[in-house]
Amino acid sequence: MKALIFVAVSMALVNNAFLAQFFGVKTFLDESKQLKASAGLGAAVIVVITLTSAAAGLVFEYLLKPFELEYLSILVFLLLTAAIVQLLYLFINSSMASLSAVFHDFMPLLMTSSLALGIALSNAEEGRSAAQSTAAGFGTAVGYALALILFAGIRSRIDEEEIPTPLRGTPILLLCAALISIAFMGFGVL
Amino acid sequence: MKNHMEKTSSILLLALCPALAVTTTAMSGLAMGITVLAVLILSNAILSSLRNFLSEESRLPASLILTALLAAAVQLLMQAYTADISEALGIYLPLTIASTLLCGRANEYALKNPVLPAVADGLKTGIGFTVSVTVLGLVRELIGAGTCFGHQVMPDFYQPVAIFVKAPGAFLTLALLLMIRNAACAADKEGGEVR
Repeated sequence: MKALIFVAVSMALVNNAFLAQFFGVKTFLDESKQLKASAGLGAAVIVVITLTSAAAGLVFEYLLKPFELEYLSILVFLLLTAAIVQLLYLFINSSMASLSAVFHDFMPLLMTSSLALGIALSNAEEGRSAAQSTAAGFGTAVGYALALILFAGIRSRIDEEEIPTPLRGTPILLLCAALISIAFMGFGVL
Repeated sequence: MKNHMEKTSSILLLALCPALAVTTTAMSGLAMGITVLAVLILSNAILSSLRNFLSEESRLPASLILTALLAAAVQLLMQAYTADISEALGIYLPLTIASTLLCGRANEYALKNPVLPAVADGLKTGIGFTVSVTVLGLVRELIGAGTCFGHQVMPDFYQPVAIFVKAPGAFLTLALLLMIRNAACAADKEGGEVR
């Protein structure tokens, strides 16, 4: 249990998905426009990524590895993610109508984002067990959501500032990302 | 020219997620770029030749499966023939391929056009991507390690700025490159108005 918590915390802070491993950068830059929307996306990411990494971990440990089918992992992980996102969407649509609006916008994003695939692949690469993969997925998703919310806060300040023209838009966001990334490197010494 | 520059950098942006992690040297940037170029041409050719057989609903699953297959095939091929490059690129190679093809919407053009234009589009996009990631790798390697394609080019007294080959350096370099591009585009526009 302690080991699992350690995996989750280290994935959330030290190996932050966005700031250190560059998973899902596009989604990140597109969706961090407002604090509220990014909190919604953060919650969706935590649910979806925990589920997909648990499923991918189970499939990898009990299906792909015993039958030496590791070369299929990319295909399996991509399809698994798409299927889980789709199922989750159907489920939320039918049983939790108030949430469906939040999820609706993010579904295609989550399905094709490199976030889920990246975590599943790195779990397989590191040889994590199904339980460890779930913990790593949860930690990664929490770290991503944390960075997303931090970034949305900074972004609301950026919008009010006078920024040199060539830096407007993406460049200033990337500069901010670089600075947060340096700040997060501080967790590495823990 | 300007249009092409704008298009290129937006493609880079779409696919930049995983590519940022491995562009610490010019060589790995170039390797990544060429691989993505080959995959883009191939996937555009296959999807566009299948376009009449795919219904609206089956497009997303079809392109998902094709992307995954190509990514897996490329990874296996590289492990077999260029083991050291595949070692250096690691999981970021399949990730970049997947995100270029899926997030980059490279497929959309291929699904609506005949094979030849689709291949040409793949070639154009791929070359733009290759140039972008190579330049990114070149700058990071030069500042971060003082070398260029593995050769020492900076004078001895040059102290490498190690942060450029770490994660923050990727964001920093990309920000600077985009800033330069924006400034160049703006200058271009002004020049056009004077004329």
